[in-house]
Amino acid sequence: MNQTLALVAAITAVNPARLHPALPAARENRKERLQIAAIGALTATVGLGGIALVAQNVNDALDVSAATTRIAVGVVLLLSAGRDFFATPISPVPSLISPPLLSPSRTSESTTGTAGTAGTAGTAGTAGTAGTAGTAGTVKTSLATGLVPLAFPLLLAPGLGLLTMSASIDEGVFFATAAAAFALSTVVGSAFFPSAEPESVLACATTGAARFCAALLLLCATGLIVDGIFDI
Amino acid sequence: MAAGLLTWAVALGAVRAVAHPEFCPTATAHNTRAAATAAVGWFTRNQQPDGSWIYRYDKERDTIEAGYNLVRHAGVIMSLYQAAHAGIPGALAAADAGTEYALRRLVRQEDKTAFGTGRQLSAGASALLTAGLAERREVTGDPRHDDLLASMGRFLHGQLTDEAAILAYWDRETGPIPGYFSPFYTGETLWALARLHSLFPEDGWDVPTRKVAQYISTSRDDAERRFPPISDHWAAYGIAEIAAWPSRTHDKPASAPASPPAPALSHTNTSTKRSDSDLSPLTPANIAYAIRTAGIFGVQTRFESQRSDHGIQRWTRGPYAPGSGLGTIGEGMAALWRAGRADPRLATQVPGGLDRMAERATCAAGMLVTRQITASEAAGLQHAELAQGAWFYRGDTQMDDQQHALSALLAVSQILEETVREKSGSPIFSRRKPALSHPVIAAPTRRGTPE
Repeated sequence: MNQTLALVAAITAVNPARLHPALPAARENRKERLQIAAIGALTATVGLGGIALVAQNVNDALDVSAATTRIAVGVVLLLSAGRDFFATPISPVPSLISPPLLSPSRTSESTTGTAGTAGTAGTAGTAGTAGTAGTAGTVKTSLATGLVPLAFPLLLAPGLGLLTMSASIDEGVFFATAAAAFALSTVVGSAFFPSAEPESVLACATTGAARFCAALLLLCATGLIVDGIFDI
Repeated sequence: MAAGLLTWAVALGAVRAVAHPEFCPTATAHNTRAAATAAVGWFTRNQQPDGSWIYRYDKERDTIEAGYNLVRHAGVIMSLYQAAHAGIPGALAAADAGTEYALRRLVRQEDKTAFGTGRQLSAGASALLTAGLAERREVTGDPRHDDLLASMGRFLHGQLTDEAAILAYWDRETGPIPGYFSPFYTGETLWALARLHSLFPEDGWDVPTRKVAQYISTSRDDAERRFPPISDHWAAYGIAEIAAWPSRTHDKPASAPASPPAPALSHTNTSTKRSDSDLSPLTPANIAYAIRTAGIFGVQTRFESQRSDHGIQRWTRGPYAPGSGLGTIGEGMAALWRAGRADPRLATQVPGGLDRMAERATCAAGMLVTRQITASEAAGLQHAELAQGAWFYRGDTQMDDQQHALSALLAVSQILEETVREKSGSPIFSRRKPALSHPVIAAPTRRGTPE
């Protein structure tokens, strides 16, 4: 596996532009956004490091060669890219749209307000968490959202997980984990910027960037498949 | 959370559907040679008094089917001379009898000779007979066919177009027939011409050989068949032969082949190892082509190793390839391995290096060993002599199944012996690890069986 290809594939599999709207939106929430993103990225890195560590053994146990794994991962990434490209942009995850940490009234408002969004986003499972969070529990709940849903299932998604596995088999545990960590760090980087207002030019640009990432991922996935097929 | 878990489950299911387990039975120098010996036994038992062989046998209906193919006849002769070179008893006599059959079917015109019958003759039959007789020349040191070899070489040279493509057919009255090409005759001709240069280095066979090699490496796929890429084991033989020519930097003439039948597969001396500055005559385009072709053999091996007669693979991967199809994969990969041994550029540029190539070739041989009909398996059949030592595909076996399997086993046996020699007793390649999988370029089925 070409290392550059693996790195680009990892970044586009994470697709920070697609995930960005899911982070707490308000400009004044930057610190919280960063904390949540860091928790999510760190947790996902640990998880992916674990995957990288056992990748070779799992492959051996399954009697599958590295090249075949690459092809299979390429197929999964192809599906992921298709989803990222054609699906509607990810909607704000309710539990991630927390208000300023010490403002109970706004917390309540905001939580209520986003529950409906959650319904449309298909992440209703997280609405309950946010909804039950009281004032005292807001900080905890908000940071916990770095674990669920940010680390899992949003970051520890099959595409990135399997790509890390394949990269570990081909290029070693260190490279695979480092590439995954770098890719995940882009989510933390994106947390420096507040989400754009819906329907704004910036929101459109974010959506465009997310689709561009998906298109790049499609190319990377095709590259992996071809590479796997013509490997020896 | 539940949706995330479901996504993972679906993804893992997709991975499992694409990445089936690959099974490579153990191949050793001993069991590959034993299987090769059994294949030679099939040819010695099933040779007719006129030197031809039983062409096809259907064990389900217990019938010997009609038909014959002179390209395959020449291919069998070639494989048997390879077996003779490896010292397998009975191979030389059977090959010589097959040669006598061929000599009675030669067509001479001016200074050219072709092998075939009828009005139109194929280039492939003459190319493989040339390669076979070149092998005989090397094994025995007997010069009796030298004039014939040169004459057939001139015939093959006459089939070259300006672009160095090989016209597949020649008409007794009109000469080479323009516009018709074969996926395999070009590679067969390349190998034959390359062998002629190895045998007779002063006669200038290297010039057309280089042209054909360059054509195959750079233009053939575009000019003749773009997709799927040709899995050309014959071209691989040719590349290996060229790689073993004297180097470009030293450029001293090759010594005329002498008699001692060293235990090598062909003129391609696998112990030939060059330094980085001592380049073989292969061009960068030839090297790139060899790497591409190794990739094709690689994916075919991985795909074949995923086949099984039970479980989901039975439906997703189809039935086992014929012995001929699987054999060509082993032959091709082993030939490229020899080329890599002779040219460090290929060895270093090919993904996974020579070890990976050896591993894939060995995997193909392991599958051949386990799929060959043993004496005990054949014992229950009415015509055990037609089944023992053979490879069957959907109930029937054809002589080229044994031919290609035999050549592959001999080639891999040589790899294993050399590997053992070098690694002094460390375990050889076994079991798993080849890799997938594209149905389009899976091992050739009967219809696509190479000649």
